[in-house]
Amino acid sequence: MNYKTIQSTCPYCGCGCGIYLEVIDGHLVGTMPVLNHPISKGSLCIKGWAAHEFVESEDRLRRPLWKRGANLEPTDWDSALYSVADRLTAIKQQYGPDSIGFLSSAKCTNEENYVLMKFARAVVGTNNIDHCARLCHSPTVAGLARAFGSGAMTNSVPELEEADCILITGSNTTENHPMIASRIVAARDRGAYIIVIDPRRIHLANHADLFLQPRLGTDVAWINGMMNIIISEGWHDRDFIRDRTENFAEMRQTVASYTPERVQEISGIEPHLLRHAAAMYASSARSSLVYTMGITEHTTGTDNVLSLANLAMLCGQVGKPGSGINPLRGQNNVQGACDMGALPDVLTGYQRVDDPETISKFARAWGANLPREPGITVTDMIDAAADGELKALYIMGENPMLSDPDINHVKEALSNLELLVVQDIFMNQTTELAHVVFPAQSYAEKAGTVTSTDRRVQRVRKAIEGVGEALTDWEIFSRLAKIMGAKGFSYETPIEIFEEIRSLTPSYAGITYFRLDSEELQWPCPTEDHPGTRYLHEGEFTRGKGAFTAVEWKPPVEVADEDYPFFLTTGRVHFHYHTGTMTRRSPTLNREMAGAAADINPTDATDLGIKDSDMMTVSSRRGEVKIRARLTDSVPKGTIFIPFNFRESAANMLTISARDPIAKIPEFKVCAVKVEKAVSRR
Amino acid sequence: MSALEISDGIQAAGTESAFAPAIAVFHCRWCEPDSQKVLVMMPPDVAERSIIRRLNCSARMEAEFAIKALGAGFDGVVVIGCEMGECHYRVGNEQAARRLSVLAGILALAGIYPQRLGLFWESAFDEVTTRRSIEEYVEALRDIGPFKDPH
Amino acid sequence: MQEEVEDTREQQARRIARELIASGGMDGILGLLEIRDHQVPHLFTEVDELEGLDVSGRYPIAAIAERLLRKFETGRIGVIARGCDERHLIELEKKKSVDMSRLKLIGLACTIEEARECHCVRPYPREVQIGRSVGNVDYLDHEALSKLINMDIAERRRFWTDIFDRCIKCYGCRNVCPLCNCEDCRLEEARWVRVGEIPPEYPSFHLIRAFHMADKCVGCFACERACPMGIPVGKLHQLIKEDLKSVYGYQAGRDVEEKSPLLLAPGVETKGKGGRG
Repeated sequence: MNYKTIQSTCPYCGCGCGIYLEVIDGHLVGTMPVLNHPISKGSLCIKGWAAHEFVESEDRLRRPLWKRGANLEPTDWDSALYSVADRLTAIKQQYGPDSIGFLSSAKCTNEENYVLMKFARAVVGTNNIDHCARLCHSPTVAGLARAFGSGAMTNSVPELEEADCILITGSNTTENHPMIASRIVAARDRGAYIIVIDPRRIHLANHADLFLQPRLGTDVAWINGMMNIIISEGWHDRDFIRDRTENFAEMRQTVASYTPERVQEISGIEPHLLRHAAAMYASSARSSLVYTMGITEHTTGTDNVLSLANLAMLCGQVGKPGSGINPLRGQNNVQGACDMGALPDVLTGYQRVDDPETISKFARAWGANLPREPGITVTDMIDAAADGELKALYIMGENPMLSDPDINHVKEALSNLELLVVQDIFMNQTTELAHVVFPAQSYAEKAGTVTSTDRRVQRVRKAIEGVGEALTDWEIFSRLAKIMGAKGFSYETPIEIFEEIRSLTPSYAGITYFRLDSEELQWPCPTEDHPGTRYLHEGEFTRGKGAFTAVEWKPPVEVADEDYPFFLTTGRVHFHYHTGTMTRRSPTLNREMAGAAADINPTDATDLGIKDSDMMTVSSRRGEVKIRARLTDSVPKGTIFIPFNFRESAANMLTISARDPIAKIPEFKVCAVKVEKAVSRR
Repeated sequence: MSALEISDGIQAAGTESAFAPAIAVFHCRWCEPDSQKVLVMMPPDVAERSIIRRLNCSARMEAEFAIKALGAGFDGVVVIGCEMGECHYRVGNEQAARRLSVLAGILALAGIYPQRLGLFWESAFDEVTTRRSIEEYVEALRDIGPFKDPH
Repeated sequence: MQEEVEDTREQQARRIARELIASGGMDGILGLLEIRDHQVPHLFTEVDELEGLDVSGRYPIAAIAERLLRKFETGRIGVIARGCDERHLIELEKKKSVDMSRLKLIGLACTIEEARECHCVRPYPREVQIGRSVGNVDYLDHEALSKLINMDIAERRRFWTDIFDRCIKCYGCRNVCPLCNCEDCRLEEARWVRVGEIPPEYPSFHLIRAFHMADKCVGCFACERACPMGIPVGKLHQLIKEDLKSVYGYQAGRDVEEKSPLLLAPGVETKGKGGRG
């Protein structure tokens, strides 16, 4: 008999819950919560409880594959690696390093993200590196960097319980960040005011003190409206504004025109409710803002984030416990992927590629010449591939064929590449188009670190041996680098990689594997005796003074009209995770939700002759999907909600790829569709 | 026994004063084999919103049936079985009585009126007594009101 | 003083475990392993692992014991069992889910602090080999329980409806409970609880479980600790247990021979003699 448990971090969302993986006979048999974990405190959500189920699935990629004719066929590692090395070298020589792009993975460890970006920059010589953060929190990084000097969550998850008021907007927290919702309800039980502002009546709205339901894409308006009221009433924190910020006068002038009446015209929010929210937020000693995709996934995503930053600074709610601006990062390691520089314009720790000192430091450390011009983003890479300018794309642990907007366009783009290499744990719609597929190890088969949404660096630990011939992602890049003659990739353990990372990254410099075994560490952690940082911007902002930005409301790019009379908004469901590669292979989760359903308001459904569970055809200017109807009044009349997790009713067939000009995030949250009852075949 | 069909989403109808409860009735085939006969025991406004299911023995009545029925839109659950001592399977009705008594206690603790559960142990189907018992039960249920929270 | 007692419990546990492993009669000892300031369930099979054996954490050990006995058809294990673990195993034995002859219980007495944290009333197993029993105590949260009892029925309805509405269907309450070991759990059947809904169907999800637990819950409150949304499920079970005790004199986990009031022994507790043919 045997039984052991290995402590790791849940591979699903950015909460960063501790889990124990239970192992019998070298196989995963279950998970258990970690009793005194700072985030999960002895609980898990249904995905965490099922986090072991997909790992040893029959569907796991076990051998390298390469395209022969129209099919992908198994081959051995050396053949596959050499073929990729040869093609990359040839393409680089013929078209230049910037004809090659890399998509890194917000699911892979910090060590793996680092090695990918080192490979891209030092071996291939390009800054064309990006990952799915582009599609979710790129406005956060852009907006908060501009306002505060740092794009990260300012406070910590446990601190939410210390807040007197929590305003949650554009975040379906109970469904997508359940352990954070846990803190919010605990705060409420202690007497905190909870305000939910969302175009849908989400589950958390039923446990809030105040619920405001603005129209899609009107966030700058209601935020400016709140500030208008706060300033008129004199509820703003004059001392904080004077001592710690700049550019207030311009912002104040702009919000003067956002009277409650004008805000109601734009957003539909009633003035007395807006006033109520403003009063609650401004008059509480500690007020916290929590947000996710409802704020970022717009063509005005950066503006939305800047507006929230304005609001927090206006009321002096940054730089102290239980307050701040708290973007909840989606993936288990999207924060880490950003921290590791898997982005076109920065290396680790957000050190810019166009800063001469930074580039010299890395060039010296890596022994290579490095590109100095920022590269292009994932959305631009797709366009460049479609145009024939990007010749090769190397994708690690991402599925743009389901997660990017305008899927038909993505397919056209990927099919146009001379070389598409994908490294993943399962076949998916993206690997199907690849020339070479490398089988990678899952979180349970490797050791490393991941960084959760509140800058918390935690360990993943190896619980079972890698399935089949799968290798860990950093190992694959290391082998490739060696074949291509590069030095600096002879890592034997992930600890060596982490040591290299922290030698080049001031915010991670004080974190070590040894410390991680017994301490909670949130960056910045500059030295080995530094305890880590719970909340940011205490005393002064990262950039010195916080910067207000005057922001005007702009409507979404595509709104409902005569031809396409419904608004479509997209998002997630609780039981599945993103493109479903892991959760749809988990029996527990599939049992709860085997397929997609679109949320439609009952009045709209009746008008269209649609009953609950009827099939509907939803179409936009980009494409069409068939999907089952779920009647619910959580969506207002005139709006449809489709979760993007299900490939057979892919919401992104319909979405528009129009982007935020600064962050380049697509407007996943708003476009126009028409809805009809699907014609029955019977 | 055929698959239990409980229609979801039965709407509470009627005004406050004329509230017509929807009832899920389960009756043992030994004390009364004919579901129709049971149905007409109920006032017409209630009968048209109720369902009747025949069980081989009241012991077949599970707590789940009652709990699910309440969630599915019924305001009350009735179980009709044989008088104690006369169960065709000797002790089935006693098992049922015990089980449903425990359930009634749980409902009460959860804030659900245990009077929503109507248990009638009838001897060699006595129409008069049964009709009266059901009428009293229905009147009490009218007073208690619908199960579904109006908000 | 407390420090001494803690050390003695660990030392006692390691000594007993060492003897049992060395004697060769056991395939392993199920207990807690201290790693990096956490205690995790672990099956100790080698003497040199025992340095890490700890007794101050709390996990539903009985659930793991039951799973091990199910997975491995032969073999015996020692289980370091608190009072609640033993009560879990007694109930599992009633269900015939464990063969107690394959388990050797090593009784662990809880400290006063541990009893208080768990809201325990009986923080010791029948036979204590590790630590010293503090006897019967009462650390139930009477304030919360009386508040619930003293609400009128409409208030109680409102209380439970509102709080169940927070539920995110993590199944944590069920997953940590050693008594919830059914292969086909009713809560997972769409027929009884609609799938894919948050919050889960009311009253099906919570009241079906409450009914199933009525005669099995031993009051360890692991369910309540596992709930991320602060739903006091353990208190509902506690109130139901008190009902069953006052009406039928029944206590789960007390004695394997003590039959649940839901299982009437025909001829003994029933009156039925026979019906119409």
